[in-house]
Amino acid sequence: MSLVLEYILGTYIYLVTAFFIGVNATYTFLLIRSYREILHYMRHNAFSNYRIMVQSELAPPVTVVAPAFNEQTTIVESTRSLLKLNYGNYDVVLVNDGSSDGTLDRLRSEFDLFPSNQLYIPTIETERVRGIYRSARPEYRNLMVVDKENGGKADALNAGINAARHEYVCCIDADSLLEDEALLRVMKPFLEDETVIAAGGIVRIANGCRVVNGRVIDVRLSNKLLPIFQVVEYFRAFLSGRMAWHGMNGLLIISGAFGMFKKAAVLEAGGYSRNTVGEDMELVTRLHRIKRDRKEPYRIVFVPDPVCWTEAPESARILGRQRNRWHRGLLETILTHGSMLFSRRYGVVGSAAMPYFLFVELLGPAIEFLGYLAVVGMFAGGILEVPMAVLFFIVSLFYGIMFSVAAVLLEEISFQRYPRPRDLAILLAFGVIENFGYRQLTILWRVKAFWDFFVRGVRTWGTMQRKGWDSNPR
Amino acid sequence: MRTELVIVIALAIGATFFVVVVAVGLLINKVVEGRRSKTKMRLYDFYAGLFADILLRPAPEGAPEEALSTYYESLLGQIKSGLAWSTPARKRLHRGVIRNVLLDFSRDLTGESMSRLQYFYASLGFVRDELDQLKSKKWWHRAHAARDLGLLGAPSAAEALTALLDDEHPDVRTQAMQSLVKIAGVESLRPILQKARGISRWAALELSLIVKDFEEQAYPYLVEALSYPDRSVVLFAIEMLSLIGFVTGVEPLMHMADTYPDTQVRAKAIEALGRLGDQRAEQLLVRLLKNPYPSLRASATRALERIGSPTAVPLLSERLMTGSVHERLSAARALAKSGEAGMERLRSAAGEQDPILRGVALHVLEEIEGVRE
Repeated sequence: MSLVLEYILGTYIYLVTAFFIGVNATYTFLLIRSYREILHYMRHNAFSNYRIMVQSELAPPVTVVAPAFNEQTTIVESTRSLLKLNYGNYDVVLVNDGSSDGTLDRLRSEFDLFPSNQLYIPTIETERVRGIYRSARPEYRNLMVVDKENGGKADALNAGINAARHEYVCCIDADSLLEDEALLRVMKPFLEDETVIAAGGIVRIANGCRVVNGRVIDVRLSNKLLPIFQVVEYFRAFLSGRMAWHGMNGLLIISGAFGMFKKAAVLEAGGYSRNTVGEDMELVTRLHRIKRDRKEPYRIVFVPDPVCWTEAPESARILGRQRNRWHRGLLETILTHGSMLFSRRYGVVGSAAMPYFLFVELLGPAIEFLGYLAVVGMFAGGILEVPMAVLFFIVSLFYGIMFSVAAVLLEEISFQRYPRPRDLAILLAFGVIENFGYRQLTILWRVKAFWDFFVRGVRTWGTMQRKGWDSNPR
Repeated sequence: MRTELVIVIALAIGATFFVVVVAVGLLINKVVEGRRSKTKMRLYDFYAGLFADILLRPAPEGAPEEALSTYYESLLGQIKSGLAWSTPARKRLHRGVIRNVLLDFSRDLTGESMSRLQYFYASLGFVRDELDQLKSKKWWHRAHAARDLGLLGAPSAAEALTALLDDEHPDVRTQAMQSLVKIAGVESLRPILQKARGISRWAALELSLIVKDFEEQAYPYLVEALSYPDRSVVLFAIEMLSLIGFVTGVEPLMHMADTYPDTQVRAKAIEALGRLGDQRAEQLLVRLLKNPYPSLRASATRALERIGSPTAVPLLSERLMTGSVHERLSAARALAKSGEAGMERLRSAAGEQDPILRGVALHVLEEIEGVRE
């Protein structure tokens, strides 16, 4: 029996080692590819004077869709911020997703809303729309509020897309803050290449930043640990992950917090899926699938500098819930579109992006977690080569540090949004520190997602508490 | 296994060491850059004051060009002698700042002050440097140089910039176009539009900002461009004619809307006529409502949103009943512009059973009548 166990554990360790080498080789490739893409982006976009161009009558009109659920404390400030975006021709569709608090009442009184006869065609099926409101004040004439019964974020976004009047829809979180020229920057790929059907902007963490009138005016790091860890994580995800997949047209995620879509493409795909908590990734994967099935030329792109600022969780409990949800969303997407895996029909998406998300992003945490368990088991059984295990652990830490620090470096050689040397030093330090505890914690959260999904059958979002921008330092 | 692991460890340590060294280097660089940028700002203020002063000194009245050049050169005397005695690093730093000051000033200056600035730029060797950069193998260097030459309006660069209209990289071509327009004025539109190919919507947006400034002066060049072979150029010309809103554009646009072989171009011309809102196009648009091509019918309906036509009421009513939602909305808006008969039809549609028809009519009535408490 012990021989069998020894054999199994020994084989598993070999598998983990092979996996480890494969993952790190992939990360290295993505890092190099991202570096090239960022460099190209910086050179290509150095000549556009967005401030002037944003006023051009040739800039196509855009509808910004923002779902809101029980956000009475932040909704007015968020809406005002959306109404002040620097873009020539756009309107805002705010979807009240059956809030049980005073979200709609606050909007009604603050923006002088009246029930409107605005045409609403439910091209995508949603929960019942109770009413559509517009503002009686001329300065808010580009605001529309869709009041509907609760159906979740995806359902609310679909209602907003139904109500959108323009060719392009920008889906964002109501409590996120877009930078001044963000809309034009994220529109640029659509105007340069007519085959672009979706574009995602970068999401950055606003905790610790100075926010005035819905604008981030001073970029700083939070004085709390968790948001800083997340800043480093976001650098890794956006700058050294999505940028590389963008270059290969294999981008599978456009963050729900900030994405621009061709409305026709989204309608054609049937909108966001209501059956997943990872509706943003699922939609993008479905768009890939549809376009590749039809052999139509298309591109889904990532734009690294139109910034959407968001508030990151500051407590481990809420962060854990968020990561759990993201992982369940990833799992649902992979299960839904499993037939795309390793299929040459889906090009780089089927043969590289989907396998990457399956093995590295989805199963990676579980494999790593089981690796830790195997080491404990082997140690208990007296069959562990301790020096080798320690060395292996050190090597994995080295690689972890290298990729985190490299992601910070990518930010520093490109956009440099943190101007203080002190902040850069902190970020570099956190790129090292996160490998000692934080990374293992996120692995636990993500492993728990499997348990929640398969054993407990959890399919819901869970709650996400926000403090609102007022709480940020001024 | 041990050997492999040792290799992996060595690689990991090597890579981490490399990253840490780079990180520390970047940190030091950030601190140094911070200090350097303070120095640059100080220098910028100094040179901005100096150049503001020498730009404001009155030029000798009625002096011939040669005398003016001598005068301008004398104004640069102090700066040039200062640069001549500097170390190469210091000289590079000061020249960089001076260049930025001149480029920034160029955005606001015109007339004799601008000529003076152009002289300074050339005399300090910047034009020569930029012209050298135009030959660079790196496209972004060529594009930067083309942009800066345009900012300064350096007349001697016109020929080189014209040659750059054939550059292999679209960003370089776009910068060359913009700079050429700034240097050579509206006449440069002809070579630009003749050589342009595959203008993206973004490039059109960039170019439109320049063309729009010329207003009616651009008209003959845009009309001429309507007959060019590249479709993107034709579409751009149509867009600009309607954007500038010059009424003499109506006739050529009507001709294109009626006869051009490409339906996409025709559709664009039809919509441009709608944007111009000229009544001369009314009969043509009404006729196009019966065109066999759905895209042309839809464009004609959209164009009539601004013009309206009492004679089109029956056709618009039909479109209101049977078209796509967008077409129905356009038809409803066109009906609202088509006199009492159109309004009557719209009001009656607001009481119909068909939810889309009723919704469209109510929507447009709300647009016209505004807020209803």
